[in-house]
Amino acid sequence: MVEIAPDKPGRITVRGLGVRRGETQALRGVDLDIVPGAMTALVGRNGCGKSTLLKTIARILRPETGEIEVDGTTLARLSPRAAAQRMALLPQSPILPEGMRVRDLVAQGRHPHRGLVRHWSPEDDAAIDAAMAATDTVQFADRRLEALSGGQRQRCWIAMTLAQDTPILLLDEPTTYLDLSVQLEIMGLLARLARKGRTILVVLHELNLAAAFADRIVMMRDGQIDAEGPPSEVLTAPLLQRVFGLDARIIADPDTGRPVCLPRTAA
Amino acid sequence: MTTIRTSAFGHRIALEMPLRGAALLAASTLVICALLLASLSLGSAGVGFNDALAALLGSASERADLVAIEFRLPRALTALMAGGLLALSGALLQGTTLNPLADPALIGVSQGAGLAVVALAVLLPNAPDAWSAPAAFGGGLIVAVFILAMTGARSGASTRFLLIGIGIAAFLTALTTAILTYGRISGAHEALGWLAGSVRSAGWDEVRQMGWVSVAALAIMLLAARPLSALRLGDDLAASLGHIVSRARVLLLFGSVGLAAASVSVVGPITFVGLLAPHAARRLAPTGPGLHLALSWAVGACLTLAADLAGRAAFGAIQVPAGLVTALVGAPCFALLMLRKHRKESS
Repeated sequence: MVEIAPDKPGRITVRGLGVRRGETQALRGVDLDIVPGAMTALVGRNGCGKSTLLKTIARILRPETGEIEVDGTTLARLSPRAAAQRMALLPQSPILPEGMRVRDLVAQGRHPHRGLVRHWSPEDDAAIDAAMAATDTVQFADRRLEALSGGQRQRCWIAMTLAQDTPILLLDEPTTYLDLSVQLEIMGLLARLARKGRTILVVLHELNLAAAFADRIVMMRDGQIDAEGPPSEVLTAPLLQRVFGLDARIIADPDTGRPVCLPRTAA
Repeated sequence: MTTIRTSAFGHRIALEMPLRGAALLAASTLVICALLLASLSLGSAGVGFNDALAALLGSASERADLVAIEFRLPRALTALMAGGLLALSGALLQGTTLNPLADPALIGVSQGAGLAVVALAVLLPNAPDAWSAPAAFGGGLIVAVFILAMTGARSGASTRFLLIGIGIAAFLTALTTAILTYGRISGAHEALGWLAGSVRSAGWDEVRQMGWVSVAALAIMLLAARPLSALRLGDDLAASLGHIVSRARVLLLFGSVGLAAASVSVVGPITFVGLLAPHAARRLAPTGPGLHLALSWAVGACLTLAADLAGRAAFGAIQVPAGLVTALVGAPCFALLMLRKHRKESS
């Protein structure tokens, strides 16, 4: 992997992070460097802390110990607005306001760039147009979101986070509840965005989606990071056994050479 | 959707408004003016429209001037502003809790404010009048905080939130009745008419008081638009868009309770305006939260003004308080909205 200069935007550094959720210690001593300009997938079993890690980076949860730096600045020292101009989040189940049109939803991403009496600007319009073009949602601009399919709607939500115009994009299980073909479409879109220089951190449930599209995979277990690296290094049979309790074979995709996880199902 | 845009100082000030919403705001202003004129001329002592208009311009007969300007104008202005404040309070509450059925007078905030005012009047009869507004605010705030503590701050959208609120409202109404029953008769009599939600005795003092609160309401409207527009996408997105969600929510709740309390302390609890006006505004024109707040204010003002006019003029010599009129119209509408919410949740 090519070393990237530390002042390049979009670098997240996590040091000694501990997060408590209610009675349980959700994260303990997490150290992680998110590679800038690449897609990193967070995987692990339910309750392993992957969503907690994403939400803490997104400033929704507060760390108990340790700290998170974004491009060298401690997150706690950034103002909410400044942080919102560095990182955009697509939560797992955002609320869809009734009757909202697609372009109005995408425009919500401009929130941290607007003010009390500053409702629009040419930069806003340009960012909204670019976000809709990148996600192929221009043709839906005047449609209501309720009228769209699940995949189309998800593309609109991603357009909203793109319009926020941040170097970092955080997504919490963006492919859940979608058809397989739509899952591939969404992951392909995220991979293209990463190739254009955005830092993407995405929580995924589906291992093979992570293996096929992500540049790096972070495997978590019991609130700690168990393994981290490119898919070919991380997706191995012993690791899958240890992290997921899964008896699986790893084969190479004949087209891409990327690893594919094949769970043993024979009785 | 067609929008109007203006900008100045290199886009440091840049405003945007959907055309339909702006047109509706203008139209509702006209309706308010028409209702005001009707309020001045209709009633047991008839004053012609021309006389009413002349009285406003200061060139009417002494009798028309007395009836229209001294009796009817302050009453109409009070009704108008009280309705606007309640509607704004409801819109803020609905936006903060994401519960489309939240209304300060439905979940007990108004009743809490009412109880505080009645308790003050009966238990401390010598207390100065100026105490009643802060007492109302305190009473309303205690109820709001209590309900949110019972349901959890993040589950304001639940039906549980409403049910607990409705229960508290009933309990507080009973408490208020008990205080009135055992309280001194003279204080109780005065409080009774006020509790029905009446602007009957409103004079220029009340108008002045409401006027100041309405100016504050305008500031709240401007400040609330941004956090409301982020909160409607859910807490996580609002945080990611640069808001401190818990702080925004507390401030919006304070604003909502404050506006409701200010209205209650003058005209008593007028129900359902806080529920219906924001809904009607949303139906009339889908807009962003800023303009929606302004439209809610206008619709609430129209509703209460019309309710007071109807209660005063429609039944001859019998005067029906505005609060009763809004309840008569509002209760069936509430049932319909409740049905819709349930159908949507179960579908």
